[in-house]
Amino acid sequence: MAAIDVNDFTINYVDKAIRYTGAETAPHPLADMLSVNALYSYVMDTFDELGQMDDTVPMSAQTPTDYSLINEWFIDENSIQTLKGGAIQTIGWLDKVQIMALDGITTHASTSDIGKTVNDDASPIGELLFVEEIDADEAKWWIRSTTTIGDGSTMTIDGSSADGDANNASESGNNLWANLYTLGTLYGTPTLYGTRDDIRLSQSGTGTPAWWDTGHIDVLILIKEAGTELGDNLAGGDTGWIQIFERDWTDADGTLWDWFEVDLGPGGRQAVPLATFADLNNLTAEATVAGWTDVVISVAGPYPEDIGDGAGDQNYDYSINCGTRPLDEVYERLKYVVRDGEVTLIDTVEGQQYTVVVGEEGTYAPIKAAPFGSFAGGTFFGARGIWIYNMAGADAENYQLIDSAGTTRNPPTQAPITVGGVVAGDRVLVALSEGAASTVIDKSQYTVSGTISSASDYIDVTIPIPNDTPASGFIRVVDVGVSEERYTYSGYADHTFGLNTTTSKEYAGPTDTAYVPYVDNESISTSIIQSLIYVTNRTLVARVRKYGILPFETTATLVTGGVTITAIRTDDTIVS
Amino acid sequence: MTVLITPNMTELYDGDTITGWLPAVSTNSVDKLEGSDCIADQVKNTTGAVFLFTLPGSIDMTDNFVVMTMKVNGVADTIALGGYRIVLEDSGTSQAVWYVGGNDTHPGGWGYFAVDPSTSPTSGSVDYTDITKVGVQFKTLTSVVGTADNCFWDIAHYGTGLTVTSAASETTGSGAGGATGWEDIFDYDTGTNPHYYGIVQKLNDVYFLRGKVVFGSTSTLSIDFEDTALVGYLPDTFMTDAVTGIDVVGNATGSTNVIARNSVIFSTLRKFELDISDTDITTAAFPSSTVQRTAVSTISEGQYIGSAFDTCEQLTVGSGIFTGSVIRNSPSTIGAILLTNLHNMSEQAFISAGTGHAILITASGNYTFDAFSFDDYATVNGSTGNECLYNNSGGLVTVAIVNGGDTPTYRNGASASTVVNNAVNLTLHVIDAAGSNIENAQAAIYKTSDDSELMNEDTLSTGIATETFNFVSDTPVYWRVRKSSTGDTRYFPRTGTGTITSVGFSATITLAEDTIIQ
Repeated sequence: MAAIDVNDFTINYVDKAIRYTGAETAPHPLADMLSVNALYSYVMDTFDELGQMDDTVPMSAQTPTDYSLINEWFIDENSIQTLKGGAIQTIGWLDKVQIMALDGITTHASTSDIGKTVNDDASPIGELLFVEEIDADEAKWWIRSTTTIGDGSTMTIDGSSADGDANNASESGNNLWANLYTLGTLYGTPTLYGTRDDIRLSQSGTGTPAWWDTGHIDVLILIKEAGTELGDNLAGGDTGWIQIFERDWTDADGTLWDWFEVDLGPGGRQAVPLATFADLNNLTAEATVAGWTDVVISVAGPYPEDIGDGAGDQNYDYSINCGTRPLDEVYERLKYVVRDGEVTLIDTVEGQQYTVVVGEEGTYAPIKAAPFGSFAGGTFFGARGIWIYNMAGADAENYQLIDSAGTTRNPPTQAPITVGGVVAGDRVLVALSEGAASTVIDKSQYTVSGTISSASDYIDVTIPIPNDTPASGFIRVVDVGVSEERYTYSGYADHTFGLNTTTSKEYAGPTDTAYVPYVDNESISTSIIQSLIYVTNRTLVARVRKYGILPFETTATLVTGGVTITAIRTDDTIVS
Repeated sequence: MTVLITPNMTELYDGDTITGWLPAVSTNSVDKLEGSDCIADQVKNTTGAVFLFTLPGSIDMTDNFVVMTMKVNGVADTIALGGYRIVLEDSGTSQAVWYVGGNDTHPGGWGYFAVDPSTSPTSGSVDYTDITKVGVQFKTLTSVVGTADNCFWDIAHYGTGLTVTSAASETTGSGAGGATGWEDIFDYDTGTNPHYYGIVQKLNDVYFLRGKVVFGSTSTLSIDFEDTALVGYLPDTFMTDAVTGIDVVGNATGSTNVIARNSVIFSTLRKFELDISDTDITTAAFPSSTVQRTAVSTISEGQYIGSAFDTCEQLTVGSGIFTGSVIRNSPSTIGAILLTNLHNMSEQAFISAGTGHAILITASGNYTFDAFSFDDYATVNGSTGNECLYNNSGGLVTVAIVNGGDTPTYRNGASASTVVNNAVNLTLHVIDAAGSNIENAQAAIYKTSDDSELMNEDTLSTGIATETFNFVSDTPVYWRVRKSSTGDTRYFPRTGTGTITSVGFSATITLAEDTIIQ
């Protein structure tokens, strides 16, 4: 690669065109590109000569970074791509330069056709200034003509077999190439890419091929063509914007990405600050992550989901099935689907252009480093509106979400009660005690609400059932002074336990009470573990009994992180 | 010496006696114009008799005219029906009658009636080179009581007009500073000291002429004439251009100074010849004066500063000095003026009446048009007859336009060709914001119509680039000034528009330093 200099440009006085005719091809390293100022200086030096006085000056400078192509002079996209350091607007293209799309092409025009006469339905209308092939039968022609070319016109070129049909009427007006440059810290030597409307400017994937090399860029972006401003801001409603992304995927050297949105409509030289850093949680090889297809993103929200924080169902826009994968893998997979070059749609947006829930751009705060959510300290921090589920059990608490309303939602803290030192067949009960160091079971944990008839399949209590109540288990109802029955319940809600059976008698509050032991089971192994959601500290009384051993009883306190009770099995040498 | 008026007129009869008249006439001392009597007759609402006076001998009246004095008490018939008539008879008794006046041309009282015998008479015919009898005839529309006469005629002359001379520096005249003036001539002729030639009359402060008035002398006398006046020529039907006009003549001894300042010399019916061609004229000047309806004339001497020649036939201008004058509405179809390359015309304006050329050139050679302007002439070269210049020299005429004159269109006669060079300066003065001259700025001027290059050069140390341009007509141009070469102070280019006029094109261009350029 060699640096581009002014001698690589040719001034065609007949076509009134400035064209890059050097040997260097894209991508152009930033250091090799020519500043617009250098081109301007060269042009001005050239045009103050005797021989050029009969020609109009092609350029003017408004500021060191704002230039105009004046007097109907033309410059093509290929030449623009070699320039940096300043914006260029055209003055005088309206009704002088026609830009037209063609389809139905059987033979493409080539650079050798430039300068030849273009015919519209066999009538000459002007000279070909530039041609760009789009695909096998589509192209774009720039023609110096005062005549608007009608939709469907048959286009030919004198002395050429090039052909095509006008696809829509030609457009005429002035262009604006704004100067965009990036600054800040980039991790590694990534390739930046941009989006303008649905056109992607990149060296990979679909869309317009980018012409810049890796690392920081300083380029001229066509933001107004034929008088029409291109590009939209993400929030919609304003044209002239472009987004610049760094979402490079480098195996074993992950990056916390960044992107920035900038309004190029005013032209001039616009800075795009970017800051990317190493992502130590994104070191898996791209090919490996590509196989993690069991992480499935559903976008047909809203999804009402309850994270278990006591607030009940909340809406989420997208729902992600983690496929029982640990969240660090889920995190990488979610980066994979939005990395540079990914064109698979998320909702209606190519993955590589995805920023936030589609339709909520400008509303939801983006996580630029990882659009679906970041990962730090073993915890996945979901972006707004993203619901995840079915992650590995070990990660049941290792995430934090933001519902669609913007409220941060945390999964409940688990407080497991572990009773060890037991053997299969030991009967184990751990219940709420009447106080610290009390071994008396608090049998008034609940007060029966109203009258519960015999054969009822529920038990109503007077207070809301706390979340640290086992999802299923046994409720013991105390007919005070009379009896105490033990019923299995399958679940609860609010003030009601749903029973798997029916009551054997009638209970009446507020005299009768009830309580739900945290553990009320027979051991099947050497320990019993009851997972609970931590609500608050609880004073416990634990009992382990089995014929043949001395009854074991102790007190404990359930705290954050749970409690472990180790039973001491002492043989009862007295019983026979 | 005082003002000296010399008549170029000869008396035919004086009207004081009846001798020589046939039929017999009577005299009248009451209604006379001059002398002791006039001659009278009674014509009662009818056509009177022809009264002829037998001359002592035959008179050749070539280039002469006859002036007779007549009066009708009552109402004469119209001129068309011959209210006043002049009758001439030759030796062969051929007789011609001219109807020279009527109640529609003469208000009554004594009047001077003239005829150039060479003109076609109203009736009859006569050999004007052999006139032996002269007379009058009346036709009246009113009668008279009894035998009273109602028609009268008095002294009559023939000749060419008057000659005016004076001291070389006249102090007794009626003109400016005592110079001879029109009033002196009028006084002598028909004014307070009349000689009854009828050459100069006055009405309402306007002097009316007929025949020729010659200023100066070809012998030794001088003339010092300077006046401001309105002078008109009488609308005599039977006078000719040849016998009507003003001549200025000179001699090697005396001085000839004739100045008609702020005057108007006009004519309505009759054209008059202006002859100012004598090379011995000291000064003949018509500053700020207007001359109308001259016949083909030669004014090859004299000065015409701010003068106007309106509806004049072709003027041969010779070396007469014309400055800031205008020649307009000439009826000449071949050229309002006949120009030689000895001319001294500058700032001369020509205004077309829609036909005819402004200038006729009949001798090939080089001509200079110094600030000439042409209006309402054909705008392209051709042969419409209305081009500014008619080169009928049969050869090459090269015209140099100087001092901002219009570029004339031209018509080439047989075998003639014309080159017009109107060199005007194109100048661009290039300075910087501080007003200092910028050297080596590229300065160019292009014609807007076809982008042709008119100038393209570096400015000198004076900041000026200049070039000449052959001006033809107002020419829209655009200019460009650039200086942006590496190694020197570089400036933003500038461009602009303007028009090359007859004085050229000049503009001062301030360049702003290009602080953007590398």
